[in-house]
Amino acid sequence: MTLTNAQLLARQEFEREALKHLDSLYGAALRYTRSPSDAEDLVQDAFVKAYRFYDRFEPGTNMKAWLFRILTNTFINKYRRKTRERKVLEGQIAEPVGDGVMSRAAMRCLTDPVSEAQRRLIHAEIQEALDSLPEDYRIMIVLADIEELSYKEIAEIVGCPIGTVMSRLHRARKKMQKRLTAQAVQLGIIEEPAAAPTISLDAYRKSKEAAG
Amino acid sequence: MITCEVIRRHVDAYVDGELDPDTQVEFEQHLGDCGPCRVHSSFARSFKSTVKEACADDAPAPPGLSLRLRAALDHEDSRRAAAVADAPVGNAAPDRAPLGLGGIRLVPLRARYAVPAAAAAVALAVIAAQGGDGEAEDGQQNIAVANAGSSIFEEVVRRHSREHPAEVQGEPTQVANWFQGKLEFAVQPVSFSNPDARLVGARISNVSDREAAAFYYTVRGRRVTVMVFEPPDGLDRVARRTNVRGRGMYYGQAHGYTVPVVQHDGLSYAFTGDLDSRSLMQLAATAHLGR
Repeated sequence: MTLTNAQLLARQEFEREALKHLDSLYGAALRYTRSPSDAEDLVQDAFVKAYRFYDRFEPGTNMKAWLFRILTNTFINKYRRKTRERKVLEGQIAEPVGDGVMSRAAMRCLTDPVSEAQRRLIHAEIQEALDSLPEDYRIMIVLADIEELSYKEIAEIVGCPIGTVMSRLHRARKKMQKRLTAQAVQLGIIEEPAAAPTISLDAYRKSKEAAG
Repeated sequence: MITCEVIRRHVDAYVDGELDPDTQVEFEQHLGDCGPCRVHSSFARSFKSTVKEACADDAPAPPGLSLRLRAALDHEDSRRAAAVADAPVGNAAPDRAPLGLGGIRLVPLRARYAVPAAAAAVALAVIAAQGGDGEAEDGQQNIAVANAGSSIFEEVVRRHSREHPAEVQGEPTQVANWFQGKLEFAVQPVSFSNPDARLVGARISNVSDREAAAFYYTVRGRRVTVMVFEPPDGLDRVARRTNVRGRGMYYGQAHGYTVPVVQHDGLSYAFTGDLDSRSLMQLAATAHLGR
């Protein structure tokens, strides 16, 4: 096969720059697809696509965000199972997630887990909670919390307004927190039932002091 | 003055660092004075960082992946080079629809598969080493190679066990028609003389980085998958070979599945399924292959 020198250089540069982000891309793909072999396929599809359109990448802009855009779009277009899911999320049927999901006491327990064992349990529960999210929500958590991209970058990647990013991200977090709380109660990390929004912080402190 | 309600509604934007500087200052003033809101904001911050920590435990990209990606890029390069060579007067390669959506390929197969075939040979060497016949000589090298990528047999088994949904269903002729122009090679579903065997669907798939047709069958109520793809180089060197009912075939094992591979008319037919290895070999030996 014969490539021009310019093509060879472009190839080398692409490979060098893109492979820097391989672990992040694979990690995100694993979160998206929840399957190692699908994640590898997804990364490969995205890589080839990015290479094909490398001349459209503007040097000096954020390569990682650009690669994530391609990865995420490839996932959305090719790997997601049903478009129905999206309609449910965007429609009015979407269940409103209020503020009263967790008590402050529960938040405090989860903010500072007492032991390493508890921390590990919480990590495992968070992973499961993330895996159980609908795809559109999972994408938000991956991009915002794991990759720490800005709302603007996420909006560009997903192709929706910033307001939609905010509301999806909010719902995604609330959903995970709700599940996490329920699990934490079962595991005995949180002592009281999750549905105790009336308890005041002072009352909680007093009960803690009395117990301690 | 910001109310607690506003703080709690926008606490996500606050911990994500998405507030404009003035609002952020107001937030911080409020949080300095308001214990309950502080609980909300510390929790939101801690939740965000815990999500990242929890997922940081994930496995990094497997060691074989970058090798596989380089092979895919080589593949893309030779596709371009060949497209340029065949274009009327040095035109650039046109952008092509993604794999499996049809379109004419002008690329000579030898060139296209030069590098992927090398990768496949590496993968097949793994099979030989793991084959259990005590042929492994260089243990050190085997370990290195075993990390380098998944084998053809493993890929076939993976495609079977993942149960990816069929893209087409219907009579064998309908399925054959559906495939026309979608792959680089002409393909038809195999048929079995066993009356209990039934074609239930098919899809475009891939084995390593080569295109494949996946046909799904049920045989006596068990799932069987047949993958058809262009033969990888070096199969004869490393896979075990046998003869069943007068038909020569290679075979390998992965994840407890047996995978007989029959070569016919320039294509490889790999069989696997939820049957014992003897039944699978018989099935592979008696299948009507053709195009």
